[in-house]
Amino acid sequence: MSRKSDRRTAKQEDTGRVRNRRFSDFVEAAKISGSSLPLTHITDAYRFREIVGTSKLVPKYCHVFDAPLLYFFYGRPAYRVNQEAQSSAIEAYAPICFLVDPVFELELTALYPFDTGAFHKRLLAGAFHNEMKKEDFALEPNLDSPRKLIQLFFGSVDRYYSAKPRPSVKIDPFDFEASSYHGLINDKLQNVYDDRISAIELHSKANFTLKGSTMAVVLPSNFLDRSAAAGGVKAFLKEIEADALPYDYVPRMRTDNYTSQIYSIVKSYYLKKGLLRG
Amino acid sequence: VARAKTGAQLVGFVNPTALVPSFLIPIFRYGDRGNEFLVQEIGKRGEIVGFTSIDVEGFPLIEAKDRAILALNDAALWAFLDWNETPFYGALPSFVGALRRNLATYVDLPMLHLQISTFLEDKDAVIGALGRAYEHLADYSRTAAENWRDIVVLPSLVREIILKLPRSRTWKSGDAQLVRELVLKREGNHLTAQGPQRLIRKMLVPNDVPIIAAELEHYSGSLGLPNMTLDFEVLAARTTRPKAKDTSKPSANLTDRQRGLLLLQQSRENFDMRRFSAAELLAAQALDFFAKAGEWMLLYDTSVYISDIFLELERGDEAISELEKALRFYREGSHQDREVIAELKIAQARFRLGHFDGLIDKVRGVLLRKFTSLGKYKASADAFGLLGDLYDASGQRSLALKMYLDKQLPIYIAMNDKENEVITRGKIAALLVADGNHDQARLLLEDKGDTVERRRFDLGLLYE
Repeated sequence: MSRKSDRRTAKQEDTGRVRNRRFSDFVEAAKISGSSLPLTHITDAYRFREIVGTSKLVPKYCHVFDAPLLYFFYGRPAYRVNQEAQSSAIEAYAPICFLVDPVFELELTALYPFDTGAFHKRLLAGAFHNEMKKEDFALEPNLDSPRKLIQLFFGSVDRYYSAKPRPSVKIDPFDFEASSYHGLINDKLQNVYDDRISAIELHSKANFTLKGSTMAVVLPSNFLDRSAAAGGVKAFLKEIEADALPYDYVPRMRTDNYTSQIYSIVKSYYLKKGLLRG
Repeated sequence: VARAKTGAQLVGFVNPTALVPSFLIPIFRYGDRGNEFLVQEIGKRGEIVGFTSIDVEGFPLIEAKDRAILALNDAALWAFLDWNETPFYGALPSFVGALRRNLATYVDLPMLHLQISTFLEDKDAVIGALGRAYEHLADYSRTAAENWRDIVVLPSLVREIILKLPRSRTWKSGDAQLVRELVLKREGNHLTAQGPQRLIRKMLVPNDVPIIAAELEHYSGSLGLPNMTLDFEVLAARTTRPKAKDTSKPSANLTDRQRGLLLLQQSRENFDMRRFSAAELLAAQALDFFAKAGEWMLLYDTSVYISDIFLELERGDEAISELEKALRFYREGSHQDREVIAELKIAQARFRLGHFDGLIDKVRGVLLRKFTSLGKYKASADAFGLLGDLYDASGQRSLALKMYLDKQLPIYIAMNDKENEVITRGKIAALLVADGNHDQARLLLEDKGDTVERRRFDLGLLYE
């Protein structure tokens, strides 16, 4: 039995259907080119307080996968769609975004080319065949996969960051998953969902130590104020050797205020660091 | 989003930052129906345009005394948690009045004071608050202050100013989006706003630039950028490509020497990015490979390099320990060049640790003689610099000035080492300023018209 077919039978779905690996194989066959981006992890103030105490990101129980998981997104400061409510605490409140660049290999357990929370909520249903499952789009869980995917479907990290996919990609007519994914990221579904449709999602089941692997933390500016609580945050940022990127937090209850502000801050930071070219 | 035309009842507030004082988010429910928590969606005129369900898991609910019922098109509710941890809330006019009355009490929290001033749209208060916030952040970290100014505050101000230009009223909504894509690059006191071609070439006209710059200058002075200048350019692809990151683990089929060298290279890249702990880990791994490969010289050279990391991590004793290991090896192997460099680094580390005893005699009497006899000019310049630092630290400013000006600077000039030259000029200027010789300091820094950023930075400090 070939190695490829070994992998094909490796994971059975709960329906009994064998996981389809065509999309993964399509991406795997691509060449690595272009640069890499840091990973992002967004949290809220209360979970941030725990993180300040431990200097670690710790997996939390995930309803979609029924397991404790630690989520990252590739490059973009995206957050996962909450399955019960329209808005999660993260998106409505003061989000805090870690930009991490693992020095040593991160123990990734899964990698998807979109927000699985949105898939689970069937927000992406219009783009996919009913029989397609999120697992059909799982990619090899390593840091080469995002670069291959970006090269194939976006052409550059700059275009990926700005959610500007390639209008055309050479896809075999029988690669339905690749066609669907290309259709999804090019479809103007913005009225239903936003550019998180193409944010690459990474999972880990291990704790992630922030010290030495954190480039920057984007956080509300009053976390760096002259108060006792802020003093702890400042000490934490020094401890993990991260740049502080404070943003202006004025709660106007328009969630896009923060997300667009953070997107812009992270983009400027990447430009300054030479990770994006413009 | 809008669930119903009936009202929603205020049940309490969530403090999104967990800090006190802080803005609060009012939380509602639809009467007795279900356990769903809601937040108001606010329209352009400050009216409620809907309620959105919200997950408040993990956020303690601060109870509201007055359980008001609000409906669509009612004025939205605003809330703030004061010093005494009591929420005050109301529709915008009364809320703004209360915030304005209390504004002065938040002045010791510069970031919050700025948030409130921004919320109140009080331009004078914002300008003052920006300056205090910048100084406060600079006390914590100059990098954080500059990042905040360059990446957060100034681009947002430029965007706001552009969107307030009378011309902007004629733009389509998609055009306004282009303004949000604008980023800012700073070199010294000069700002370059980079944006999409359509924005820079079509939407803005040359006459707009001085108007935008003049408006921006109201703010930039308080942010450590006096006499700021501004221009605009189309955001174009850069020529330098970022480093590839797919080499984080050296391939197993490399030799131990090669793997050590690769890790050392990666460590240096991390050192350049000031990620010292990461650099330390990689360098320690490199040491293991050099030891396996029997590459002793590389191993001890790496020890010397690790000592630099320890110094940056303020672990001076460990830095000295690494250097002493290397020094013993260099001595035994008669590697005199490396030996004296290690000795100089030990002296520098002792200076950083504040161990000054006998250090001046050691540097002057032993090291400088060795460097001169070995023809090590760069090391001599460094040693003269260290002597200058030692004299300065012990209050002997004239001797320090002599070391920097007569000894160290001429070597860097002769070697065309621009970077170290401007650093030394900066040190000399600082001493001159301390003695009240501002004009001489200015002449020194402006000499040759060098535009190295560091020199401009020093000039900026001089004018503060």
